[in-house]
Formats: sequence, C-alpha cells, structure tokens
Amino acid sequence: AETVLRVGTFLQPTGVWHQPIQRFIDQVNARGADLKLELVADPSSINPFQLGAAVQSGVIDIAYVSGSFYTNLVPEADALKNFNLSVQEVRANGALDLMDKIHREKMGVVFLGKIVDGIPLQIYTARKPESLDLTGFTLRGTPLYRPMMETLGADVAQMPGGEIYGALQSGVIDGYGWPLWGIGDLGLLEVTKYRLEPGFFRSEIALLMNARRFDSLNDAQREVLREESIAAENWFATFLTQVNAEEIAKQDAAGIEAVRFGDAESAELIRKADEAAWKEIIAKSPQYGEELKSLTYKAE
Amino acid sequence: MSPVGWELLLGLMGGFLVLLMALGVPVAFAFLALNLVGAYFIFGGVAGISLLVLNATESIGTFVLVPIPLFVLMGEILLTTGLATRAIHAIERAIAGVPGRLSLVAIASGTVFASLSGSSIANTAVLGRVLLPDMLRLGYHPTVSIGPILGIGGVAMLIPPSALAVLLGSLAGMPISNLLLAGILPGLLLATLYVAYIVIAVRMRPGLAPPAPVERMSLGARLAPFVRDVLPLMGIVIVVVGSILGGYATPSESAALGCLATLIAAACYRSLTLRALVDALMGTVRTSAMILIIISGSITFSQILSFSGASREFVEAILGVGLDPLVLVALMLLIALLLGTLMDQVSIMMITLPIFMPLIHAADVDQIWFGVMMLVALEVGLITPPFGLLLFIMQSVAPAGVSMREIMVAIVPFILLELVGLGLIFAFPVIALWLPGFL
Amino acid sequence: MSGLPRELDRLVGLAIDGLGAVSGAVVAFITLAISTDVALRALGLSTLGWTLETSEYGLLIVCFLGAPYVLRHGDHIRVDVLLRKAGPRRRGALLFLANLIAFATCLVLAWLGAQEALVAFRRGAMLFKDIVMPQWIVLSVMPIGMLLLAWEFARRILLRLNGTPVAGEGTEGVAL
Ligand code: NA
Ligand code: NA
Repeated sequence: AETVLRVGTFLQPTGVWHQPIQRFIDQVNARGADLKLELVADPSSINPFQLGAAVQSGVIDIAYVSGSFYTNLVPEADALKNFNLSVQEVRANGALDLMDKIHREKMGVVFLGKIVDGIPLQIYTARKPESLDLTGFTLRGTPLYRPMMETLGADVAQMPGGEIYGALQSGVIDGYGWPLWGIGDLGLLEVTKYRLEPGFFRSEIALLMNARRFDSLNDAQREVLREESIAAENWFATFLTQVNAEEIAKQDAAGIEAVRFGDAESAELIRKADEAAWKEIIAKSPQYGEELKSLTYKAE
Repeated sequence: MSPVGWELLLGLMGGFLVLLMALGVPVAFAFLALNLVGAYFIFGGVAGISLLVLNATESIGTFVLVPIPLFVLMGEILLTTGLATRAIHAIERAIAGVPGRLSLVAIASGTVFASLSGSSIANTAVLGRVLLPDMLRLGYHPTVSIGPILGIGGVAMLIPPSALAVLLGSLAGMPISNLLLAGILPGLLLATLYVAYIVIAVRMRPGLAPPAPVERMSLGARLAPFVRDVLPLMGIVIVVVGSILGGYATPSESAALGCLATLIAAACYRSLTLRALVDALMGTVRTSAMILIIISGSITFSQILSFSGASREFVEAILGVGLDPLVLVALMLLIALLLGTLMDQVSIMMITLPIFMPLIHAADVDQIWFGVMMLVALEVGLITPPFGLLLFIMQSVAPAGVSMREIMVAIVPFILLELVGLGLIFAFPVIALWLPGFL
Repeated sequence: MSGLPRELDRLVGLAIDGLGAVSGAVVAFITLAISTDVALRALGLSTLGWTLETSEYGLLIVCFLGAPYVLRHGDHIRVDVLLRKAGPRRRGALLFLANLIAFATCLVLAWLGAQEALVAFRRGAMLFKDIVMPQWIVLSVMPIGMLLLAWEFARRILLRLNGTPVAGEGTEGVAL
C-alpha cells in the first residue's frame, strides 16, 4: 500500500512562500515510490511555534518551518539564517550533515534540507534615512532583526505583525524589518516609502522529518526524499532570482525607493550584525556554535 | 485525512459541543472536553493531546488579545468609581421625553466607542457593564437593552480602527486602507437599522421600555448635569482616539492609555478610592479569565477541525454548487455564517480565505466589496448560538440573574437586522465601495 | 466536609484567592508597562523592550490562574437553556454530570500539561525571544490552573452529593 506522509507548513498555504513546499510535494508524489505527501497542517490547524513539536512527536511527518520558530527544541536552528555560504557549499562541506546530527540528537528529526535560502531581510521605512545611523528611528522588529537594528542605532519596538500597517501610517513607528518577499501580502506596499539596501542575514526555511517515521521507510523511499530535498535546494536558486526581481518590481511600482549608502560602510555594518548574531548563537550553543560558524560563514 | 467523512465529523464535533453545553458544562470546559477527545483521534493519540496542550497555551499568550482586559478594565473603572452611573443619569435627564432613550444611547455610544476600539469584545464588555445594570433597573426589556448592546458590539470591527479588518486585509492580500474605509458606511448602516428598529419596536410595544415621563424643566436644568458629568468624560475618548491619530500609540496601546485617563477622570471627580480600583481590577480578572479560557478552547477546537480536513472539505463541497460570480459570493458568505455558529472569527478567516480569494479573483468579483461582506458575516457569527463570543461576554458582564436564554432570545431581531444589512450591501455594492472610490 | 478535608480546602481556597489577586496585579502591571512604553517613545527615549512579551505571559496568568478564582467565587459561563427548563431534581442531576465532565477534563489537562512542562524542564528547553526564559515556566501555568479548577469542580460534586450545593451554581436568578 502507498505510504502517506503528513506535511505541515508554518505559513499560509498560498503565494510565493508556499511554492517551494508545494513543488516538493508534487515532485515526490510524481516519483512513484509508493510515497504520497499530503499537506494537512498550516497555521489554521497548528500554531507555527508548535510545528516543531508536532513533527517531533509525530503528529505530522514532515515540517516546512523556519529555524527561529523552534529554537526551544534546537537552539542551533537559529544559526541557519546566518550562513553566508550557499546551500550547495554547506551541503558539500558537511555542515548540513552536522545540522542533521544535531537535529536527530536534540529533536528526533531528520534535517532533510534547507529548501528556502538566501532571501535577504530588509529594513523598510516611511521617512528617509539620511545615513546608516538610524538613531531616532523607531523600528518594529523581532528578535531576528534586533542585532541589525541595534547596530544601526535604531530603537526596536515590539508589536504584532497586524499592527505594523496602522502604526507606520500614524507614525508610531518609522519602519519595520521584513524579508524582501511579501510586504504586499501584508498590505504594507501602500504605506512603505523606503527600503534600506543592502539586505542582511538570509531568510530560510528547512524541511524536517520525524526520525522514527523516516527510519521506518524503505531504502528507496528514503533515497527519493533525500534526492528530492537536494533537487529542491538546487531548484530554489533560480526561483530566488526570479521572485527577488518580481518583488523589487512590485515595490518599485508602489513607489518604494531603494536607499543605499557607501558600500564599504554597509559591508562593515552587515559584518557587525553578523558577528552580533553569531555571538548569540555561540552563547546558546557552546557545544556546536563555533563549529557551525567555521563551516558556514566566511568573513568577507 | 480522517477515516470518516467530513459530514459525519463536523456533525459529531458540532453535535457533541451543543450537547455538552446543553448539559450545563461551562462553555470553556465543553470546548476543552471535546478537544481532548478530538485531539486524541484526529491529531493522533497522546502525542496529539500534548500538541493540544501546547497549542492552547500558545493561543492565549499573544499580544493580539491584550486589548481585551485593558478595555474591560476601562469599563470597570467607569463603573466602580460611579462615573458611569452619573453620566447615564445626566444623559437621561438631557434627552428626557424620548421613549427607549437608553437603547438609543447604547447605539450612539457604541458607535462612538467603535471608532476608538478595534475590538468587539471590548465594546460589548464596556457597554454591558456600564449601561445594562441601569437599563434593567429602569425596566428596559432585554430585547431593547441586551439586544442593541450586542448588535452594536459587532460594529466595532467595521468602523476603523479594526484589528479584524486589518487581519482580513492581510490574510486576503487586499489593500487595507480601502477595506478600512469601505467598512465605515456599512457600520453606520447597521447602526441606523438598529435605531429604526428600536424606535418602531418601542412605539408598537410600549412595554419594552419605561414610559418617558413628561418633565417640565428648563433647558439649563436639563443640560447642566450633562455638561458636568458627560462632557468631561469625552476627554477619555480624546485621549484614546488622539493617541492613535496623533501617532503616539497603536490601538492596543491606546487601551492602556484609556485606563489611565479614566483613572485621572475619576480622581478629578474625587471618586477614585483604593476600594474602587481593587474592585475594578478583580472585576476585570473575572471577565477576562472567563473569556480568554473560552477563546483558548474555541481556537483549539477550530484547529482540530481544520487539521481533520473537515472544514476545508465542507467549504469545497458547498462551493461546488455553482460558479456564477454572484452565487459564488453568496455561498461564501453562507459558509462564513455557518462556520460562525461554531468557530471564532480568526479561525474562520484562516480556513476559508486561502480557498476563497483565488476564486474571487478568478471570478473578477470586487475584492473590497467581498471583504466588507465577509466582515459583516463574521460579525453575525459573534452573536449566533451556540458559540457566540459576544453572548458569553454579555453573560459575564451582565448583572446576576440575566440568563443565557434571555440573551439568546434578545439577540434574534439583531441577527436578522445584520442579515438585512448584509443583503443591502450585497444588493447595493455602492454602500461599501463609495468611500474607497475617493482614494 | 469536615476535619482534614475542610482544612485542606481552606488552604486551596487561599491559594486560589492569592492567584486571583496576582491576576489582578498582572492587569495593573500590563496597563502601566504599556503606558510607560508609549510615554518613553513620545519623549524620544528608548522603550522598555520587554512590554510585549511580559504582556503575553501576563495574559496566560490571567487566563489560567484567574480561572479558578472565577469559578470559586461565581461560575463560568454556562448555557442555561435546558437547565432553566428542568425541575430541581433533574437540574441537580444535570449539574452533577456537567461538573463531573469538567472535573475530568481539567484533571487530564493538568496531568498532560504537567508532563509537557516536565519534559521541557528535563531538556532544559529555553525560549529565545527578547527575554530568554526556561520554557517549563511558561508551560507550568496551564497545569497549575487546571489542577485548581479540577479541585473546585470536585468540591462542587462532593457538596452536591452531601446535599449542600454551592450557592449560586447555575442560578436561575430572578426573571427580568
Ligand atoms: Na473599530
Ligand atoms: Na456564533
């Protein structure tokens, strides 16, 4: 009989963010390896912050989830956004094998792949930044953006995503952090005026699979999942270029101006933010932090 | 996904929920009991119940719910310091001679309050706590006291600021400013329908409201208490609205400022005592704890149904009926109304919008028009039994002795009025689209 | 109830009241923290940086630790459509059954919730948000509340069996 695997996503099952997992599901199902992937969970059924727990306990078999959503289970997952080597490089040099080992050990899941990778995080504002010193700017951020925002000298405000629109419009905040993709989905195109360039860190989404379930499959099925994960990683590079261009075009059309200051100065800022973020990771994981950094991050 | 069909599953979950509630199991625990069983069979075994436990904790610890206790606190302070009663007496004096005046006051102040809070729960809690005791004491029938307060509560999510409209806009990918603007006229339309209903009902059945005594008072004597006890309270409104418009606070933050402004107002009237403050805080705990635990239970209930695939299959089965654009829109609203009897607003949006929106675009239906009608349909869900969040809020803030049965009877005309409003917007899209047309 | 059970119930009652007071204090704290944040921002100063998260944890406390207080001093919302139609005997039977179901539910949730908290404690799981905090603390809130709720429902069942049901339980009140 066909083996059914239950897949869960931490995002709404529509739009560009959903395409990588949808494509993965379709590709695997088309392989005819007696595997049938079914999307059963999204935020309407499992809270995004509990998707990690759901794949750990086997309520679902495969999770499509970003590292910062399950750091309580695997603190090292937070490092995924800090890699600046491509996913192909970290796969070749054994960094993803190390990730897999850590995930199996701490969470009981297989790290199938990093199938979304390299979407830059950005800072968007409603008033024009005059330099890379954002002192006096109040930016809405999450722990993910905090190192960069503080490096820029901005004050970081906390608020739920749904309040960004009103807060930006009324001037409660001057800006917010968000990936390059998807500010239109939040209705923010119409209230955003500037995008600070270049972006920093790299948004990522990983594919995790319950280890007991994975080990219960036959060799051919496991091989299909491994191959398709790697194929998904490779496919994503082209998709990234294409969607990045589309998103920038949308922002251009909405009149959002890209603001860029000195290249050397920007690079230095990014280096500082990277260092701050890695320092946090090494503090969270004295055991693996340094090793992960040396395998995945090359200071430029 | 689940071994049984969606019809059976929805029927079982809904049926058992109604059964448990009818037995007299407190609403929150009816949900939790059913969720335990549901999680075991649908999420899968004990691991599933563990996930339920995690989801339940996660669903409450979210900032989106923070305005609820804060606006409840604001109403409690108004009540325990006596400011509310003074203001109501003053209003009574000022508009003496009109039968059913407090019902009209409820609608007017509810509309004003809607413009400063994005939360229907807060709106209902404040009005229910502040106006209802006096209305019942004076002899207002539940239909014209409980009814309008519940009806106008839902208007809070049509008139900006509206947390729900922003959420709908972002989940559906609609331009949010258009949607916010589009909600204003439909909100006022509903308020107008309520006013018309009250005026007619009180005229036809004089027993509904106490007779209006013919009072011979000079204009000055009528208006003096109003100037003294009501106008200064507008300062609270100015603080709340002004802090949002002036760019000092988000809507949830403005709720906290409103509490402080109310305390200051009470101090100015020399009616702020430690006793009043403690009573207000503990009253807030009573209402908030009850409502939050119900919300936790209902969100996890919706999550389990969604995981089972039953809610999605239900939606797809109904939409399979026809694809003519107008039929499609009507069916979608029907789905929202039906789900609204069992689920909370946010869960309904998360389940339906990913399916609805591509169809709306494909059928070339105006998305803003559709969005506003969705908001009204969701608003109806707030007051339809068996799961109507505002009904429970009302029960929690109403004076002792008000029964759930009375609340459910009182609400019927207002459910119908909201459906009439929905029908009008459906028939005349201009009601929704006129204001955003200026953007 | 008499003797030891009564003494125990008195202590549990004190704990429940204490947690009710804590919930009230939490509401006051959230109000002040948010207002302070707004004031600091208006003055162009750095905000507190922990308001959102502490408010979220505050809601958990109000919800799960305030709930036993609400039950002890009144009742949670019941749909009384059927209760009001039933005669006194049948109403008593319905409330007995309802409390039994609620009791069992709370007990199971308390047990499984405690397990989750224990697992998080053993693993040393941390929540890395703006505040770094052990996850077991957050996960303990619900089971504690559920345990106290279970106690309160059990008390109501026992009192009803003894023929002295809790005053006000499922009150039908005066017609309006
Ligand atoms: Na509003
Ligand atoms: Na309802």
